[in-house]
Amino acid sequence: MRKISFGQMMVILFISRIFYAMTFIPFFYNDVTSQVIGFSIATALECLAVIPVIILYKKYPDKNICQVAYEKSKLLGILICVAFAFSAVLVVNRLFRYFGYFMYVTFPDFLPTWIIISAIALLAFYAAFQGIEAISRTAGITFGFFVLSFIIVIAALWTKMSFTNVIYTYPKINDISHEVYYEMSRSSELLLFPILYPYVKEKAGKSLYGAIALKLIFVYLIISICVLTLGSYLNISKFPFFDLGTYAETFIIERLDAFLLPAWILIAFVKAALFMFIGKIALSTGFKRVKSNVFLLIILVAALSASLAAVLQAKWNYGIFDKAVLSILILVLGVVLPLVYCFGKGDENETE
Amino acid sequence: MKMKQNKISFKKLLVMTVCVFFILSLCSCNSTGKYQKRDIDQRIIVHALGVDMTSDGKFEVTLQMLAQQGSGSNTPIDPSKPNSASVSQIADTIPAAIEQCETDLGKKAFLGHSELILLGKSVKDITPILDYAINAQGISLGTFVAYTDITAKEILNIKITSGTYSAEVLKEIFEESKKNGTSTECELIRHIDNIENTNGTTVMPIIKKIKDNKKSYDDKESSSADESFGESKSDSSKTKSENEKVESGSGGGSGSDSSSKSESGSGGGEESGSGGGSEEAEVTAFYIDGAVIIKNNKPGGVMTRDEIIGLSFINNGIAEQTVDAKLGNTNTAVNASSVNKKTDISIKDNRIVVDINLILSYDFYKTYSDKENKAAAKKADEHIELLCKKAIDKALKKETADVFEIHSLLNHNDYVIYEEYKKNPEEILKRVDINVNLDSKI
Amino acid sequence: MEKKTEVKVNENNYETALISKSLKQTLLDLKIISGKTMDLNIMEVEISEHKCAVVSIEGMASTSSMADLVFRPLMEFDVKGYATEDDVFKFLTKQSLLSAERKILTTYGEVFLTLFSGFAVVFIDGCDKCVAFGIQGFDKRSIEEPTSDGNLNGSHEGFIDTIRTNISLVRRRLKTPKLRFDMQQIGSDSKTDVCVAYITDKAPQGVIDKVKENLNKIDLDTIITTGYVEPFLEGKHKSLFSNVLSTDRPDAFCAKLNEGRVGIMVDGVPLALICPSLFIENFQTIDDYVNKPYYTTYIRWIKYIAFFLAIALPGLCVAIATNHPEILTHKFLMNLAASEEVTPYSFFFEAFIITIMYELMREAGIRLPKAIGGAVSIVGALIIGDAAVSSSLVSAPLLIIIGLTATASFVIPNLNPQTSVFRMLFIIAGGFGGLFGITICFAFLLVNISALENYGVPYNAPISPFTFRAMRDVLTRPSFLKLGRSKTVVEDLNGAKKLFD
Repeated sequence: MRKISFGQMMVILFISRIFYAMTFIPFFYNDVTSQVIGFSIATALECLAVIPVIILYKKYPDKNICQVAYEKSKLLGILICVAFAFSAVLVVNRLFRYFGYFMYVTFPDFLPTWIIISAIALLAFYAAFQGIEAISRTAGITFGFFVLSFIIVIAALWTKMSFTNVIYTYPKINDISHEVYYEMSRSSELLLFPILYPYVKEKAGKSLYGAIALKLIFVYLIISICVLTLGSYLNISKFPFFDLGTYAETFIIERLDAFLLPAWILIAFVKAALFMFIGKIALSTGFKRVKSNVFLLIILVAALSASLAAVLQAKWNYGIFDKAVLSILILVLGVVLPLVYCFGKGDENETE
Repeated sequence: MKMKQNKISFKKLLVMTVCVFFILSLCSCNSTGKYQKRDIDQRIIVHALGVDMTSDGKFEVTLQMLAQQGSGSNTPIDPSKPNSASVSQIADTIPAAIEQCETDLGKKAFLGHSELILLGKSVKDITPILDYAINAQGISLGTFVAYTDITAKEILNIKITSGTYSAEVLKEIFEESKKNGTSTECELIRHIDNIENTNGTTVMPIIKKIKDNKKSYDDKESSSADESFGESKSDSSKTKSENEKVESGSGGGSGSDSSSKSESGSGGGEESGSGGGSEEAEVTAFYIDGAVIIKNNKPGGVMTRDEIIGLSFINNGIAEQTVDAKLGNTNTAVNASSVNKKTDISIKDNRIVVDINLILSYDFYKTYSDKENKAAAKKADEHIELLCKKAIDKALKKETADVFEIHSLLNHNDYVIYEEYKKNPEEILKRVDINVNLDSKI
Repeated sequence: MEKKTEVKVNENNYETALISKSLKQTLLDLKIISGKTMDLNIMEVEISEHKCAVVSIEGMASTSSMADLVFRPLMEFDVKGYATEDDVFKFLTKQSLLSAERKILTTYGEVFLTLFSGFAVVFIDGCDKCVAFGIQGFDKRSIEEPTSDGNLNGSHEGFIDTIRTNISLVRRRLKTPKLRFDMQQIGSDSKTDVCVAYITDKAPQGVIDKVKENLNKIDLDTIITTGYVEPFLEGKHKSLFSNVLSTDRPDAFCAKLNEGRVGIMVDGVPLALICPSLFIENFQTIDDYVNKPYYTTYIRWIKYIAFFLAIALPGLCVAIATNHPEILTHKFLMNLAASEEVTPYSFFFEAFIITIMYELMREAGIRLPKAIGGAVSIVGALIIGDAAVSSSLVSAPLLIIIGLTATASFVIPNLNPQTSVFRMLFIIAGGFGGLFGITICFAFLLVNISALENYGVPYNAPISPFTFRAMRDVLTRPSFLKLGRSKTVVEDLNGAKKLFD
């Protein structure tokens, strides 16, 4: 069962989270100070929120939360498995819609959005089909590519950054609370970890904190670079980090925006593959008699069809449904459920 | 066994169907409609975009584009001839005008390499142009945006030798001018940043055409040209007809343009170099002289060249600038470069006093004694202070424009006043006094 | 009384059939089984008044060795007193040194196996066993310089077609009793000798056993080249890359054995296989460990860049020129646009056609005799290089790109098949999907390689999963002063599983 290392787990969790940060942050509808404070508070809350799942990991190091729930109560276990799968479908659906929106705005006459999403979906399906090891190794290389792109952008924009572009604003409680809420609704790694921790060879808990720390560092870096370079252009920019690419130039590449596109695609497909995989694991735990790859196909079809239906009507955002439902699911499945199951006797612990 | 074989073949069939469907979709997308793939030669590679306003409020858009002159696929650019062409159209909106240009040339405009957006003197409001630049697919945030004292069309029609095109020359002029302080920051993103922060204030450099091999720098404190920015020139409408196009004089240019040539004299374009019939390509044709102060997104007063240099010193934007200093009866030059800038804000008698301490480094072009050096440095200091004072007087006192990044200073030092500034910038700016102190190092 | 119906020996049931005591019957059986093939030599002799026969295959056994080592001693054999068949047999097996290799055979299957391996077999009338003497004398190539993996400073010896010579080349370099060779015959008809080589305290036992198990699973009737064996060693995962490395250099083979790999040699092929192998090893040559570390590091990075160029450059150019021209610098874009203005086809189609033409010429250059091969390069250069550009069929920048790609692909010959196919895939992906298509293609390859794992070792290692110590030999070539202190064997890689602990 133990297939992936501590570093790979960290990278997987980081990549599942960084897509929204690099695409939308800092959001143009909110002032940056509130976003930074809200994000910091949300991260702190997240560090507390993961404690139950880490205790659960120490209690049941070889069983994921679905298996634990199934063993305690078959019916409830099946419900929880279905809930996890449903969350996975929602996350993948949202990812596809947002990625489609991103491509639609940045490269409008390039390819039809439905082809773009379908290609990503099929690729993610293939990766999920190959298993967690293939996904984790791909994620490792994707992370390297992302860091390299990041460094190139910073190097290209180094001379264009200036503190005079930074305009501080007083944070507002309303905006901060909104930001905390949005941030929690995007914390999908809380869904990943309870399913994936049995695959980690060692130090799974530390990998989670490591991923949170990496996320913190990179989000701060992204916000800093965007603010130092773009200044108040952020008030109207839909994709700030991508706009940095349109502004950056090197001596061999005139503009870095299309050059950064592969990073987006790789991160999107790795994230989609991860969630398809956990959906498959969840459903195969609840319904043991059915072949697990059938569930993978079900999740692909469900997520893709919902995304295509939205994309073809240019409905990129479902509004409240998007954030509210996912927030509730993340809270219940990622925090409350581990809290419930972390009490009581567990399996014999392996030393970490 | 048979069932398994059927199962396997069904799986293969499914995979094949998906692949075939995908490939067919891709092929159909690539060949038709909105997603048709276009090669480079099927695009109008736009170097610069020029915008003028007609007297009836319409936009005249000029696209300066590449005119390929290859004699074969192995000699693409003929460096002995100018290789740009331009096309102009008039429409109610900028996108509509560009679309008309595309229709007439039969190609899609590619704005990704557009290096310059040039606003003619007749442009009254920069909002539609900036809106278009932000939302148009492809225009880089680093595109230069500038004004000209004639029409943008005239400037973009000028032919340059040595294998370049006027937009590239202008870009190089801007970059060099920024280093020596004769031009301000004019990238699109910096304009947007300024406008967002100051409720519509920014400074755009003015490009002028060299006439009769002469450059006339406007040294008057208030230029008579002030009032003419934002008014459409009466004779500019005479040169325009609905479908006027201008060709490069280099003998044919790209094949697709040849069928739609029009005479340069049609419509009566009388300004020199405005018609495409200007066969004399020029070595140097432009210079930057001063800048327009944009307030509330509308062009206002004009800052002269000296004032811009003073502004650049204050904003610490100078890499190096040669300053004249008189030693006795001898004129000498001092190479000044900005090292650092320290700013202090204090409130005195309800006045917001901004103390700017500029640390400059001086280099001399001739070897003098220590005493002479100090004397020359002192002269240079005086000169620079004078330039700074001119800039402050024009921009702050006369025009009440925040071109000295006052908003940033207030935001970083006194948030309460910054909040007041956001509500009523003019009131706050009227209370601002800027003192420039120089600390020069030889 | 029931009459036992004797099953006559024939070519279908000879493998386990026992040799007859009657020499006449034995010789008859041999002729029936071999179909009276013309190369079966039978010499009937008398040794100490016992009828014997020496059987060999024409051209396989050395005639001079046969005369000196077999016939003369046999003719000189003289036993005082009455010699039985067993005495003769004892003399042949224990009291004479007729050759270094000697086998006792009891079945026709063994007889034919040894005969076709160049042995001479001596049959004795009245004895149901025979003796085979290894006096191989078939013509074989001499040891030559390896053709595919050239080098300047290392050994210039390469493997040849004869497995035993190859074994000796390896043994000479690793003079340790821990180096083991396990021979087995594979192929129901060809009975090809396949040798598994390993160093006992370095190669994991699980890997050795798994290799042997995979070889035993081969149910082909003939094994002609290593290509027949490779798919069985690669495992179930269908990958575009092979995690079995092949080499024609004994020094490289020994270096890999020293790292804990298992080697496989096939008789009749001047190549040896090594498994498990890693993707990154395609960029490493034995010459790297001869030159100075800084130079090797520089050359390694040139190889990585060459691989990237070989696979991705045409596709990237097509993608950028068609879909993302904003990436190019302005002057380059202008030149490209001017070049494309006069060509009749799209950039994508030109790239596609030129790549096809290049592949045609490359393949022609390999297959043609050497005398004519040079003409191919002249024709190619003239037709594609000069005429196509002058007649504006293709643009000059594209030609430079394809030329650079072709040169880069020669830097890593091991990956030539993959490079050729992926290059085309990337061109198509770039033409239809731009950078998006190329990324999708690249991601697909990445997943395919990442999923590849054999004998417990991930193919992507040590890049992903990351192993810091092993990465030294990927990013740089550390000095032997460091390498010698801390050796990394394949089991130490992150992600490697311990098989059969």
